Amino acid sequence: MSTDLQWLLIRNNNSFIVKRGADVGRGNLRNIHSHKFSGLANTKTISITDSGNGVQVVSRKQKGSPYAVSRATSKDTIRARTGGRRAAGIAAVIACKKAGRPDLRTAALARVSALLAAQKEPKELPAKKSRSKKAKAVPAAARKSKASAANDDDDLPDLV
Amino acid sequence: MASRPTVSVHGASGEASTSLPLPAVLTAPIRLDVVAQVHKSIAKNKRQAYSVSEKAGHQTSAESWGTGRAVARIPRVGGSGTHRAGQAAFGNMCRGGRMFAPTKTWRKWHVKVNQNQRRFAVVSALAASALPSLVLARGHRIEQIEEVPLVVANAAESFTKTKEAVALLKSLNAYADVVKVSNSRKLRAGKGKMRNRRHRQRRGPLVVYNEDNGIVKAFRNLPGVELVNVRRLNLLQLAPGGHLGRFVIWTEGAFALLDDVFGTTEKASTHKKDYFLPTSKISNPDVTRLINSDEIQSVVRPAGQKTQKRPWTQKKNPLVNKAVLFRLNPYAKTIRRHELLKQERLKKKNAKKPKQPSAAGEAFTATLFAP
Repeated sequence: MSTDLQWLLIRNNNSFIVKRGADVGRGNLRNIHSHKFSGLANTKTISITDSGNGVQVVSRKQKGSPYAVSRATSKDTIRARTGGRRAAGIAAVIACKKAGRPDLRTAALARVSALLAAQKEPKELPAKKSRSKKAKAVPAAARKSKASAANDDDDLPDLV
Repeated sequence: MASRPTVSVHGASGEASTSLPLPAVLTAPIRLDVVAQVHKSIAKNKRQAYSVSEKAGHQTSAESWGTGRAVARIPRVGGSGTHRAGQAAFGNMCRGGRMFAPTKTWRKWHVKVNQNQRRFAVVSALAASALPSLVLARGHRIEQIEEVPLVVANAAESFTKTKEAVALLKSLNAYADVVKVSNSRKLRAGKGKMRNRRHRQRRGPLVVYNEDNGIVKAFRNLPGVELVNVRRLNLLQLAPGGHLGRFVIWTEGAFALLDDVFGTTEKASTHKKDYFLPTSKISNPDVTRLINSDEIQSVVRPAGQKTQKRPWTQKKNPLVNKAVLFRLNPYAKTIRRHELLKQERLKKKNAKKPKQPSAAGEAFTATLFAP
């Protein structure tokens, strides 16, 4: 079955279509509803997802039977400790060489870097300094009372 | 077709043991439009007649008052002593009147579909159920199963317990589709709730068997799972909603019988009289392959430049561009020169002369220097 015909069959109606023109199916690197990016109507596909601990790249074996489903997929896992540049390189090689889709190289890179950016722990911002007058007044008053208390202490021996 | 592909048969524990050749029906042409249209008609054949009461809106002895009473000539209910007296009746615009074109039980509820069209639709739907992409596109959770079409050994036909059926589906990694159905079960909106259609849910796998040795009872309680004999395949089950790509689980016996039930393009079916499978209009629908084929590449002209050059040069505006102007009208140069000279002359003539200081008046100087 040719992919052109398959695309015509699933183009108008499938369970992954989002009416706003997107396509959230597996193997759709840019979530764009088009033949090129479709993860269903292509013999060579690559899917990049978050595996919880790193990035999982699932590509369809180029010599798999057209009827095989899980048997024709190969999984590669990029662990979380792999650096960003190395992860991008691995994804690019898988897209171009293993999956045989050099046209999806930039899309694969974009998806990997977006996933890595999302997995990064957000930087802790320094605590915001309060600019309200009340907050400033409280420590000042405390200081004053403390100072007066110290004065009292000084005064006491004089009195005695 | 070079060689007929084979499909492996999965045992009770999910492992592939033997294999069967792919039946011809699973490579039949897939026609989305035929399936949708036949489904639309066939789905109408289960309807029950309904209509409003024959008497509704006519159970009054209303008559028109005629003209001259300063009211509309619509029939009016006679009598007095009740609000109804004098009110309009019968018309579809009247309160308590009959509806417009009251529905009748003798409406045409059923639609006849030609037998060959029905068979074409079933064959198309079967072929679509053998393509992973179409089954995935319909929303079945089959990412983990080994291959499509999924064939299980004949032992499954003699299952009698649902426990066994669940174990089989789990070992085939097909249980995810049943779970999907189970999770999708929702209360139906509207009146259907009180008409024995309380819940709505997705469709799960369709199990096709050859001989029922208990398989129906084993599977039928699983949510979304439907069972059908291979001799009685039905479009409403193969393409629910008219959407291609139902997830079908075959038993070995049923799968082996497909070539008998539907025949091939050369051999007539043994179950349907004089039936041959439809053939595709195009043997190779792969557009890229066609374009890159030797036959086409040898006759097309070589590709030209990507950007085509203009066959003429850029047109220049002679009103702006002097060189083009002088080429068109050589005298223009003379006019222009004369014009410039004239302007020069005028400039010289009209140039303001510097103001010569004049001597002050006698009276003024006398006043100025007055002692």
